[in-house]
Amino acid sequence: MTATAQHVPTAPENPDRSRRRRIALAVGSGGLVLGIGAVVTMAAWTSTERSQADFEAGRFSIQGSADGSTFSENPGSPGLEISFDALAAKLSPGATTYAPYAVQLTAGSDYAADVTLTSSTGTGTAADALTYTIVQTPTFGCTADTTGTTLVSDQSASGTPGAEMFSLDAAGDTVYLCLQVTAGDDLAQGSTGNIEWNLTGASTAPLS
Amino acid sequence: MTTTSTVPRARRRRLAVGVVLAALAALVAVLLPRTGWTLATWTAAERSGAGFEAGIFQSQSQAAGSTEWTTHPVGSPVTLSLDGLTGLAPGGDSTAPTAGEPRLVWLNLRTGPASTWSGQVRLTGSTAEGALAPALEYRVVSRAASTDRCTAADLGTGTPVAGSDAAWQPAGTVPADPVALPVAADAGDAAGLCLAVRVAADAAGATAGAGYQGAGADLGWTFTLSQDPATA
Repeated sequence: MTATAQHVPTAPENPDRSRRRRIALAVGSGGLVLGIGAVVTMAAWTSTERSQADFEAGRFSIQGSADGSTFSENPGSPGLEISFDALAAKLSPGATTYAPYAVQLTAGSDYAADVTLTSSTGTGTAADALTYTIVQTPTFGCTADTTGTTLVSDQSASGTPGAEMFSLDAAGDTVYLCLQVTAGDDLAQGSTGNIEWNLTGASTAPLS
Repeated sequence: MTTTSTVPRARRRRLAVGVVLAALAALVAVLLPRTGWTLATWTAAERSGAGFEAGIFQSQSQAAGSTEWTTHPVGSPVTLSLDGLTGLAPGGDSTAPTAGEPRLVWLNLRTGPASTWSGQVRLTGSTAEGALAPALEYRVVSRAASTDRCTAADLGTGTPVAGSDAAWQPAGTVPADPVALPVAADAGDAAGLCLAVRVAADAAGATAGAGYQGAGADLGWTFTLSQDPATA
């Protein structure tokens, strides 16, 4: 069998359909042109203007001293060891032992401080029989003859007085304190104890 | 068909104001924590501490009847004489009675070992019980602490603590103004005492002393050791 090409007549185009096709092509071409034009017109020159500055956190700290000259930061327990007079090792009822203490705003601090006696903690059997008084003095030193402004009076060894005590208004500004610990009548012979004072400095005005 | 609001205009205005206020409250609520942050401050803790220790203060005594240095609190006294003080008698005779010969005993007082403080010893109490008690009188004089027997010479040279050669102290009484005898800390220098007991002259004689023959008495003295003022 021989295959022969066979012409299959196509149906004549509908005149309306052809016309719509031409219209669609024309509109499509126009839209394409418009689209290209739109892309072109959105392109623009840009210019970037940047600014910057360096920021640095301020510094704030207070520190203590047991000798009035050597200061250190002691944020954790047990803190700076305070040097009470010899009576602290042989207390008897009614006896008072004394120790000087100094607090200052650290030299690099950028803010002034309000200092509060946040809490005190007494440990050991003797602590229950101990009370303390804190006096602000004009100079470093603390004895039975020392006078000054009483900041805390007859506070039990363990307590949360929360007393605002003093302000430090300049870097290196130093406040001198006189710590006075008194034994009560119920102090047991040979008993021992420890008192820890916790001062908190809160930053206030920035220092110029 | 159109609908018209039935809410009066004034009410709508109040509603609008309410909405605005609510919005402002919400804004404040949102901003408040941020405002709080601006109020926060830095804090710095500074701790300090010190240790404390109570001293020790204790008395001790020794006497012929108990020579070991020991604390003798009230109720547990040191024994002054090992053999007891017997044979007390008045002096003189029945027509001219005098005080009897004294019996002498020694007593030493001090602070205990490790005592922190020095102190002062004072005679603060005397007890006298028994049938013979009203007839007895005593003296106490101080001397250098010693375990030697007290003698009449000690009575003559010692510092009077209670009574005197001219006026003995009735048993059961103490001087109104007691003498203070210093003792050192830590079992240091002790206070030495001589005690003398005798039958008083006014308890002697045929009449006054008749009831005391064969009678006995139990005498006690209390010495108080006071701590010297605490100093550094």
